Amino acid sequence: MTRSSSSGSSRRTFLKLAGAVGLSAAIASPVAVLAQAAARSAAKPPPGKPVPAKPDTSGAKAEPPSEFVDDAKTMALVVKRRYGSHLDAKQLEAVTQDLDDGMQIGKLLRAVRLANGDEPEVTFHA
Amino acid sequence: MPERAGASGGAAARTGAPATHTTPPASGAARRGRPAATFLPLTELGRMLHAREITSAQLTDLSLTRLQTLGPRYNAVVTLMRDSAMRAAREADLDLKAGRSRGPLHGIPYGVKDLIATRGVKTSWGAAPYRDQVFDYDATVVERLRAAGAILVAKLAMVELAGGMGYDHADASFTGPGITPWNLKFWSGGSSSGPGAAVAAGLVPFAIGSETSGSILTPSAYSGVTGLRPTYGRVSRHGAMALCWTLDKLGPMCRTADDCGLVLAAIAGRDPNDASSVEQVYEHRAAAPRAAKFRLAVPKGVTEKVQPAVRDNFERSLAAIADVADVTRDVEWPQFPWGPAVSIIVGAEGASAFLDLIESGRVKELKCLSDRHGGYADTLIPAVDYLQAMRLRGPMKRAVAKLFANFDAVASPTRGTVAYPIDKPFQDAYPGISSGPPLIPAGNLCGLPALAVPNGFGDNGLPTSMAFMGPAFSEATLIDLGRTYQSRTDWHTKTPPNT
Repeated sequence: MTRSSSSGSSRRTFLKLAGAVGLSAAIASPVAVLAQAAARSAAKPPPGKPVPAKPDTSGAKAEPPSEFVDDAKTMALVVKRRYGSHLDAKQLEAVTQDLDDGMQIGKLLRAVRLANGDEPEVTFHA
Repeated sequence: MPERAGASGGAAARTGAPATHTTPPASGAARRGRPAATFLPLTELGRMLHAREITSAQLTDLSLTRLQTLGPRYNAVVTLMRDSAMRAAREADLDLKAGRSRGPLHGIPYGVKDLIATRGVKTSWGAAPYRDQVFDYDATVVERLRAAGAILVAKLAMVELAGGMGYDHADASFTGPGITPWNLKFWSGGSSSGPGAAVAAGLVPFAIGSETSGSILTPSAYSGVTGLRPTYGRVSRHGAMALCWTLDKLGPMCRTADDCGLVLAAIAGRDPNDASSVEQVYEHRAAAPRAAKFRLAVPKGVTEKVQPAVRDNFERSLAAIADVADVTRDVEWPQFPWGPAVSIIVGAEGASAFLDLIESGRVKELKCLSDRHGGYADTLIPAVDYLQAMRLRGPMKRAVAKLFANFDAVASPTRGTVAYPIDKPFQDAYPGISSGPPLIPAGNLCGLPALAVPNGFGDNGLPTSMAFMGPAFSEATLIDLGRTYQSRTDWHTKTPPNT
């Protein structure tokens, strides 16, 4: 499970792959397809699932800036204000990328259409 | 009274396996003079104990000695429990002598991943900030195994916080990188790295691991052991470190599918201390003729971009059970944002579970560099995104249940590659390799059981693995499948070099 690093996050890798098959179409079914492709390259692999290998991107064009880059920088200021004493500049840069990646993942999740009656799966007993 | 120790590996084999991609290691239970019991399955150890051919004290001492002498080689052990284990073993022997048996696990030693609480013994969660942590109670799974007569001998190493802060390298534990006994330059998998290596190396006959999303299956694959991820709720999580309440599961890592069934029968069932646990009792069935063929689905794309040896071994595995299984290929796996959903859920729940560690800055004490900052962004995951992911789990479950209406199980390579090298970041290890559909995230989001079985060897003499995943509470079918496969092959009996 990798969040990101200054050398390139797995989330970014995943989003890059997703973009290659048309990520911009923010409608339910295509997004689901893209999200699945994303998961294949493991955005942020879960604990037992280390990040898969980087795809071969030789010859690929430079990655365009994320649509969330400004939002990520703004949110990073919050992190810096709250936790800045625990983070150096390089780590803050990585956190900023994490925030960007997280918003892109959030976009994928929000793009899936759910019915009003689709409740979250939680366990709670009164 | 815990004592510090280390770890190391093991080996043994049978015959009849189809030819593999690369030459497997030699086998033989009595190789190089090691005790014959070292690599025996639980079924055989139980028979020997009940027939008084061996004592629990002998078996426990063997395990403790191997943990101590070989354990450090694999960075597999955190704490050795010699005094309490030998005491319990002697009591187990007295019981057997008096004709009192607690069942098939009576007198058999085992280890637990070091995120499972043990009264009075350190429980480190694999992380330096918690290395001296001690609980005053036992986890339910430990209580149940004690009731079944099993002997806890060691707390086993793991990736720090079960990978909750986003590790990107094998060296992500204060005990060092887990090392697979098959090749000391490669990882034993995570996050149950110690259980994987310890079982593979014959240090313990079985171990308890945990999985949030892949932490039993991956080390089972990379270490060449048989691992069972139970259905969510099948096994109580009480006393286990919480990383992600809605995904965490505990399960056995053993030598055979049958062994996994024996252990599951001992630890499954409702626990008032865990609201997610369910009543369903699991009763392990002995081998019996099956009336109908297994109906297996092979999802489209599972072998497209895996390593050649992984693909070849998977095909040979399917061929080995072709007469008892109807295999449907290229089954479309339901399309959902599986990976993103797991990412958000683990991120949000993990950040909450370890908020004190993150906010205090003590994450900087973690071993892996990426773990030292990985939690901060997760503290800002929007609640709406988390809830969106949680709401998706209903439609996800329904879609997968629909698929399972026509199949008993899904078969796939457990991992697309052999184990990762310990000296590289994961993403630099195997460029261009992909596992295909995200079955591990999907299975975990839907709470489904899965069984990983060794099925050959690939690059660098490392094991490959095949996984069977079934609908909720289908462990009996999966174990039946695993047993059938293992009755026709001998990969589960191979033993690593120099063990």
